[in-house]
Amino acid sequence: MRIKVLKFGGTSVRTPEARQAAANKVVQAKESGIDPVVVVSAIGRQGEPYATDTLIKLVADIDPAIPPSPREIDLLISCGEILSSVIFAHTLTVQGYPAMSLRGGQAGIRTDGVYGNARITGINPIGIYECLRRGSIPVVCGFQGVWVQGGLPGAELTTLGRGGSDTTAAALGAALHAEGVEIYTDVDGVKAANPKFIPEAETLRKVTYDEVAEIAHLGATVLHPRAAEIAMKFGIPLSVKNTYSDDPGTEVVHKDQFPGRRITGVTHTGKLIYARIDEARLKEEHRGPFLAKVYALLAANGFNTQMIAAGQTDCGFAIDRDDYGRLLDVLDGLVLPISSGDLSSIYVTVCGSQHSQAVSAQMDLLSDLGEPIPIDIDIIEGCTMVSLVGHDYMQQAGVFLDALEVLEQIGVAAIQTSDSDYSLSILISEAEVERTVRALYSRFFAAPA
Amino acid sequence: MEPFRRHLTSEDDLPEGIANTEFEKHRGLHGVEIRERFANVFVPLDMQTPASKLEALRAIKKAHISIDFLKLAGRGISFVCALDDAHSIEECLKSAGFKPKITRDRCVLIAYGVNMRDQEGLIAKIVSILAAGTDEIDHLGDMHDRVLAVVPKDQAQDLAQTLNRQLTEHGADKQKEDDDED
Repeated sequence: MRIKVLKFGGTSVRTPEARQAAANKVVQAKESGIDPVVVVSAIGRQGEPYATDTLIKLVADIDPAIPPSPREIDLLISCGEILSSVIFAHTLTVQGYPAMSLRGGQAGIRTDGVYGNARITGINPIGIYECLRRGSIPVVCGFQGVWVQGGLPGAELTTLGRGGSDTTAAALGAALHAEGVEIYTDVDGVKAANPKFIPEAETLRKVTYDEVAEIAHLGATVLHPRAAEIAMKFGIPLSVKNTYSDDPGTEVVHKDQFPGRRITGVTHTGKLIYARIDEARLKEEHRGPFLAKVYALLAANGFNTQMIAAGQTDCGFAIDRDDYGRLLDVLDGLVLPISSGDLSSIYVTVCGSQHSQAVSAQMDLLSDLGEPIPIDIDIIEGCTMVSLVGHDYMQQAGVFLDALEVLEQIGVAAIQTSDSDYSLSILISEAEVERTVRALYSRFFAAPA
Repeated sequence: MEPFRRHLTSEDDLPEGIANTEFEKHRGLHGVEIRERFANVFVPLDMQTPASKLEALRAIKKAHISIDFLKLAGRGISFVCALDDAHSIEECLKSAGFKPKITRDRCVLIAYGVNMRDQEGLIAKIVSILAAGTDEIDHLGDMHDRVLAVVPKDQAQDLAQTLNRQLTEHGADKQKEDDDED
């Protein structure tokens, strides 16, 4: 049996025309002697009738003060993929290619019990084989599975979190020993930069699993890192293609099959804020315990921190702008008593240049215990992160300088930098993102040194 | 329509090893690695003059030395280089009129976990554990599957063990066994 998994994202199933284009890809595979297994996302994008956020709004609006439980949310949003799979299966059937929709559980996808961000623990694809044996094309709901230890008969439905349909496709590809997994989207493949900013951005014909995972981690939305991780682990050939064209797309391969290129891409991500903690008033012995407490609180409150700096004179981190209010709740006016040996101090964190009511109240209350020490946390709003992704080039001398010189030439201030084995990121003002991406693309792609 | 029968397709027809395959790695960390022989460099600068940091970086580029973990601090820039390059960095920066402070015997501690940014609070938890274990985290960075920290060589092993114990599945199991024995 020659199986190939074809995954279609929301934009590929949102209209009858789009579904027809997607169906043509499935028919093409079938006619070439392949047994296609289809995975679909929910129909449409943000704000559209059956999109995930629209479904959530149906219950969230009942009483905004009482959020629905993650279990109920999972059951609700899984309907988006169910609708999509039924419509797509029927689209194929009426064209003479019998198809059958399968929920994640029916496709054998077992997960742990973490609603909203479940991980796949196992797959028993008997249902899919049975479907194929009957001559039907399985159309599997992406993004969902079941938690069989959940207690209730029929198991608990769970969703896989961000990029869940990509993860479904890659895991099914592995479980079915597929010849390949094809991720269909509305662009020709993985682009070297956002085509909205750079229409002429190159389509990368080959990228490594690590590169594509890092590009996704740093802002590109073509393929989720979890899917790349599974495909890499099981050696499943993975490609990213355009539903609306016959472009060969991007092939994702192991590093030993492709040594990489100088720079893989320029990405940008996130509406961020940067919090810079001024350590000037912090006693040296208290620096470690202070940071440990602050980060423990951030962890306990589920903040996803980025661009972390923990240098000699100040430290800081970036978080999503949507979390700004929560950050103030946690950090503004936070009282941190710290003892180290004989040295004890009481610190109060102050977010922004003005003391809030919370800070003033804490300082007043603590004055009887001695002089509390304010630690300023400067909040820089309206930030975003631009990144250069690449393999070995990141280790070459002068890459930082080249990138920072580009920014200086266009008059963009670098707020912070961060790097890893495969990437170099710079935090900038969001207002400057388009011209910064253009300038970096121009420097590192169009006119490489 | 013919109903689905639970075992209509024989288990023998399934590809080998499907039943017990772990498709996704567990949450948290799945390994910690230590890379040795690095040095941390701090170059005090007037950061109100953007050209000064570029001048320092130009001096390093001219010496053909690769650096990592560049951070822009309020009072200068800091970065990490291979220990073998520390002397050359010092020389080239001093020749260019800078006064670098170099700390040798640094390690890069790498904590691995899949898709870390989607695991709420995980990166902050790692930083919290590291900060509780040492006063001297020089730098931090992250990738899709790892957090990197520059720490003193003599503390790296202990920090790695703490991360393993608290955030890896193996470490958590081991801890539970120890607790049960107690």
